[in-house]
Amino acid sequence: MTVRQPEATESAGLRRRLALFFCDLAGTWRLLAEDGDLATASVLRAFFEHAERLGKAHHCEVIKFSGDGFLAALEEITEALPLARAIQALLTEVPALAGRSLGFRFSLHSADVLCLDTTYGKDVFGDDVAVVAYLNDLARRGQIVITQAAFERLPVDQQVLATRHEIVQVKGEDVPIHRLRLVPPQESEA
Amino acid sequence: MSSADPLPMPEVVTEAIAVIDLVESTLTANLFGWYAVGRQSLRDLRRLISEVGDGRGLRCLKSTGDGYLLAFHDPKSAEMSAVRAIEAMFELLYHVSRRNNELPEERALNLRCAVHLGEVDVVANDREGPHVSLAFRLQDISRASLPNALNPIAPEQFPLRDYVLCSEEVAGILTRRDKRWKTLSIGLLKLKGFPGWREIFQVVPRPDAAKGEAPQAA
Repeated sequence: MTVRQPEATESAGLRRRLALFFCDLAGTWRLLAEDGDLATASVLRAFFEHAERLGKAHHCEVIKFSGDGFLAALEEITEALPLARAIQALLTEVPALAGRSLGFRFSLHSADVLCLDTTYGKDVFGDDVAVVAYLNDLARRGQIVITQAAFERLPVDQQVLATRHEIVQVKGEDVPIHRLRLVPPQESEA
Repeated sequence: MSSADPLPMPEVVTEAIAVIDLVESTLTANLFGWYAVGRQSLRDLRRLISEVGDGRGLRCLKSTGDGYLLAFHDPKSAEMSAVRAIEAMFELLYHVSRRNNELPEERALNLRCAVHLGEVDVVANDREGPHVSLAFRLQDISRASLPNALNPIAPEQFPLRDYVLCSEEVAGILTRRDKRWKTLSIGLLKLKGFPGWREIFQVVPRPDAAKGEAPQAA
């Protein structure tokens, strides 16, 4: 995939090494089917409000909501795991999200991306943005999929929490990843 | 046959599904009248679609109220049906443009076109299945969709009318089989009801492509 951004070729100075963090709220289609669009909208509103608050608290440079998830770009990759834990905790702490069979899936990557101020706000661009989004589909509930590039930049005390190493295919390319569980397996599969 | 009798299973085929939406058709009909303007515009569009679809495997032309659902079929190559559908869309836009130049502006036709390829159920002059829904999701994409996309083009670069969007499947076919068009990514989007991310493309003619260059049939 080649990103179509005419400015990109002239914006080397706007390229930055950032941690790309993607979070998806799993279970919203079932919620929509069983409880309707009004209930789903209130769940998403609560999720987005809290995610935005937590994003700011964890110094996210960019936070962008898309569908039932969000992309965040962080200067400090060490903030990614605490951010994921704080998001995961919303399932028990926020009444609108609790008891609805929802879950969070996370993915984390580290790459040089283009940061631009656009007409709709600050955004990040690059093929690596697509990589972190595609990788999110491979995560189970309560789990973070971490690329090798991101893993190498994590502090050792966070690296040791990752349990598996494997190679997956993303758009026909091999991507080495690690998996890290935030909740016990029986809870994540619920 | 009573309503309790099971219907026979429909034929399943791989076809190119095109959705054409008439931009602001309801507004135009309300402003200038359905009988004075709206009805004739829709009939003109149906006639033009029939003309460009003739000889390109157009097998289904169904009204959607303010546009049409089309299915293109090629018995020898399913992929070529997507090429034929794209050909038809651009020829349609060309004829619509010529027509618009000759008529008062309230009778102008402006279109949004989307093309996808996939397995569909064939029912009488209609098509059913998730690939049909996906084609409609593509047609729904607008400038307002882009701030929620990943790697989007600038919303102001997205045309308001007279354009052709296609799915990743169709973009791949065009890249392999036909040099008359290029496909430009407009971003990765989540489409309602479909899991995962979908890269959506705008199809544009290559300015340097030789006119009438035959697509590769295999």
